[in-house]
Amino acid sequence: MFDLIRKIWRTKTVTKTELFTEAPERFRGKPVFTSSKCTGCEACATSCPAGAITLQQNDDAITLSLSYAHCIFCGICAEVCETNAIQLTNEYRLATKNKNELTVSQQATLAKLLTTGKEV
Amino acid sequence: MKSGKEQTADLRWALQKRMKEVLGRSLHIRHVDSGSCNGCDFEMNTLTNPIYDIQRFGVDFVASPRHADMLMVTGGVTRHLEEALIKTYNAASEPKMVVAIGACACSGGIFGRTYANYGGIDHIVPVYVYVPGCPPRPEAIIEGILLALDRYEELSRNKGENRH
Repeated sequence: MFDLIRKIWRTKTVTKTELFTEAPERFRGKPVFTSSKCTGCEACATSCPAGAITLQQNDDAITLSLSYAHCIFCGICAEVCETNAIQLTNEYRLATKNKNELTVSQQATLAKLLTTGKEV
Repeated sequence: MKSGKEQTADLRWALQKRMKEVLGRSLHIRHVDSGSCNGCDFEMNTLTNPIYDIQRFGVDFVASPRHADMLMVTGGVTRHLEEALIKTYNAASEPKMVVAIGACACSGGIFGRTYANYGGIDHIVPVYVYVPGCPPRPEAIIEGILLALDRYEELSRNKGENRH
């Protein structure tokens, strides 16, 4: 009996006082893409197990589209990216009424890609 | 001017306030498992534990779709559970708010669209809100509920306009 009361006293109230709290720093949440760093190596698209990342190469630009609806937040894309163009943040509030909002696409120009490619 | 403590209290009860505005009563949720791996189901159960304690806002999980205002669907609709989902949807009372929880329910997730998996519940039933995540945090599910209430308000307003 005394142990039980002591346990309750120690634990105190665990219920969250806020509706939304920030996720821990190491939480794998929304992946963000920085187009200026991308070299167009397609490592992220090939390594993605859910097929959430697709790369489309045009004449002068490369379009990377990332679907949060498909993403399983495994973090492999961030791991394989050599230039850290994709990074996972601790943002978790992704709920939406419109499914099209879940697909984010970004463009990187090919000229930049070629120059960075030469450097590598 | 409200003090900081009062403001956080307001935010905390925002869900209950919103429910009273939109529905005028508490919100009852029926959970439908359409072939999920149970990851999202665990996160949904977490909502009722002492840490999140969503029942203090008047949100309750019920055992029958006939009692429910909202259906929370997890999993990417396997061929065997398609019928169960359709039957549950038909049995649910109006408004049939359908919330897709997790990557599988949103788009098929890691399983994708195969011969045994439909790849997203929006192929079968109309969806109000998509909550992506594998699994989504319980807080993300709370946000999904809030968005579904917004959507219901929009739709009911439009319905009223069409009638006149």
